[in-house]
This record gives sequence, C-alpha cells and structure tokens, in this order.
Amino acid sequence: MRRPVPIDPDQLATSLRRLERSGDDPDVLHALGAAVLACVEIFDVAGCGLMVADEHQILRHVVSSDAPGHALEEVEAAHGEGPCTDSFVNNVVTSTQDLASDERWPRTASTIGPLGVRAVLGLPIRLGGVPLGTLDVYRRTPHDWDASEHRALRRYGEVVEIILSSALAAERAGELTQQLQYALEHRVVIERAVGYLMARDQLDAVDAFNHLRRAARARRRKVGDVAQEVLDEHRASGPPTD
Amino acid sequence: MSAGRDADGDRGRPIAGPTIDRPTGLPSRSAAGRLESIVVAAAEVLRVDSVGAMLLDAGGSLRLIGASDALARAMEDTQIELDDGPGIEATRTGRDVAVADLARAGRWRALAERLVPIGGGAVLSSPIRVHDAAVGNLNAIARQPHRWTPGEIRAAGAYARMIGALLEGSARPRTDDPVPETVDLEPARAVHPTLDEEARADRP
Repeated sequence: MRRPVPIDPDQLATSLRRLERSGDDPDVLHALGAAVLACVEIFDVAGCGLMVADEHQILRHVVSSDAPGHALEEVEAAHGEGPCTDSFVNNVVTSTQDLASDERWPRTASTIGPLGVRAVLGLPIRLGGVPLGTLDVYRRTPHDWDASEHRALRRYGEVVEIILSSALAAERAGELTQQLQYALEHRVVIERAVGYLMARDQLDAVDAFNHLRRAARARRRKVGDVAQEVLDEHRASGPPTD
Repeated sequence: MSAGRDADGDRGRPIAGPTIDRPTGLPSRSAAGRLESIVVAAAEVLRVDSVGAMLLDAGGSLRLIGASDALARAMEDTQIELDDGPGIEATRTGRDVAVADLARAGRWRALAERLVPIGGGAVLSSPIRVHDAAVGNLNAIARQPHRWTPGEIRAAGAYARMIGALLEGSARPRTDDPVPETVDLEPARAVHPTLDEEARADRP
C-alpha cells in the first residue's frame, strides 16, 4: 500500500490562475495541472513540477503539485544550478539519489534541503527535438532511481510534450506560448554559442550557459541575441574556414 | 553516492554535441492524434503490457481512440462488439473495474473466450471523466493473471483523469480547432443520459 500523496491543491490552483491571467490557453494549463498531479500518483513521488525557459533562458515555474516542488524550481532559477538546470542545459535526464549529500549543486542543496527535497530527477521537455524546459519529480527520502523509473518517466515526459504542443497549436498569445516560441527559435544559436564558449574558455556546459545569461542580464539583452553576437564575433575574428 | 547524468536513450542530444542548422519541425498533430499518442504512451508509463482506450462518440457509442498494440486493440474492439466487458462497465458505473484473471472471470465469459487465447490475462479499467461524467475508459492489460495493487489502480486512475482533463478542453466549442468526432462529448451525453445518471448514483 502506498503512503498518501501530499498534494497542495492551493499551490496548483494559484499557479493555474496566474497563467490563465497571462492569456494562455486555460485548457492547456488545466491539462498540465492534471498531468503533474497524475505524475505524483503514477510514480509515487512527493511532488512534480514543470518549468519552461523564458527569454533569458532561465527556467520558470509553470505548474507544480506542491510548495516544495515549486520552491525547488525557484531556487534553481535563482542559483542557476541544480538537477533540473543540468537536465535543461545538457539535454539529458539528470538525477540525484540525495540532494543533501550531492556535491554538484551545493547552493541549491543547502537552500532546498530543509524543505524536505531529497531525491530529485529532472528530464528535458522538448518540442521538435528542441529542449524547452524540464519536468522534475522529487522524493522526501533518498532514492535510487532505477532504469524502469527512468524509462517510464521519460515516456511521461513525452506525454507532457504532447500537451505542451497543444499550447502552440492553440496560438494564444500567452506567457507560456511566448516562452515556447522564443525557446524554439533561439535554442540552436544558444547551443552553438555555449559550445564555442566551452571550447574557448574550458568551461562545462552549465558554466558556459550561465556565462551567456550573465552577459545578457548585464547588457539588458536577450540571451539569444547575445549568443548570436558571440558567434558573429567569433566568425569575424577567426581564420577563414575554407 | 550514486548520482549522475544519465543516459537518455536516443531522444536527447547534449548541448555540446554536434549542432543542427535549425530546430526540426514540430510534428503536426490533430487533437485526435495527440490523444492517441497519449493512450499509446500509457503502457510504458504505467509499466503494463498493453493499454487501450474508448470514448463515447456523438451517437453515444463507444469507439476506440487508441491502443498500444494488437492485444489492446482486440480488447477494445471485442468489448465494443459484445457491448460488454470491464471497460464498458467502468464507463457505465464511473468506477474502476479490476479483473485479476480474465479466464476465471465468469462475468465476462464471452470476452474471455476471445481474449485469453491471444494473451489477455488481467484487465484494469478506469473510467475517463469529463466534467464529472464518465465518457469512456482506459484499459490496462497484463498478459498473465495479475492481482492489481491499490497503487496500480490509483496510477491508472490518475492517467485516466489526465486524459479527461485534456478532453475537457477539446469538448468546448472552438472555431479554430475542429473537435474530432470521438471527443465531441456533449451530444453523446444527450443521447445517453442514463450513463451519467448511473455514474453519479454509484459515486460516493
């Protein structure tokens, strides 16, 4: 028998109201809310959330099943590090058995640990193969995510992708739709700039990504524009390719 | 500790890997196509052998909306043909129906005679609800007899509720996104009001 699943309906309702006010398709948001709640039941996790990158390539909370799940997303956005950030930047499933003892994301762990977020798994959410955000699940106790859970969660991520694609199909000019469209249009140039910075400055992908984001914030520009400038400068200064 | 960046099958591509010229085009999917894909995905998500789903159509008849494989399709088609089975029961009553051993379930003998020889071992049917009325069902199938656990029943029910939430949007009148016949639910409820009444009467 499973333990009762702690779901915070007020949290979910608040998220959905905020997004509906933003002009997004309420049907899609309603379905996404149902999807994160179903995820909690299906995978017997404590919480589930969905984030989509904004024009600054910061993962923004869209909907989550409970308050700690929402907090995890807010903390990752603030620190620019964590399993969901890695998942989004590297475009691969990223998990931790226990965030509290994981040395990869110390700032996120120290902030979110006291809220009871221990085992976390983040998976990239993609449209047309382009990563636009992440779906994350967490447990309140350490947990070794096994291969069966990975497979099933990846498949569930595809279900969420199908629902998200409805937002674009609906063509409503809401916040979520704009985020999806911007990410679709600019992800490739951002990836190229990140790859260039990794090679030039010997950075890992997340550091290169955060470098771009900081530069964009300092210049009050969008990350996609700054990434294009980086590539243009590289082309202008580099040797002829042929 | 055992944590790490995990292999992601063939879906993903690391950001530092070979780049592509532009994002690949988004697949053009109709609402019915999206729904079918979600039903097909349910087998892997719920970690069962097969999954199929049926919905009431505009005439009040149950129709197949998706099946993960031939067994699931046969399960749905046979129930529709016989107008009987755990999925039909789930839609009529609005309640989960768990069958641990189809071969021994005398209640659905005709269905068992057709399905057991091709691998139908156990069935778990969850009602799909739209605006609180049961309008279809999601059927999870195990190829061997299997006693469905409370957790499995909750998981399948949650998946069915998510499908219902999707349909609630599709069932609203829209001018820019034609609703496929299989999710045109208002006329179906008008034709078969007893389905709604029975479901409500059985609900605690």
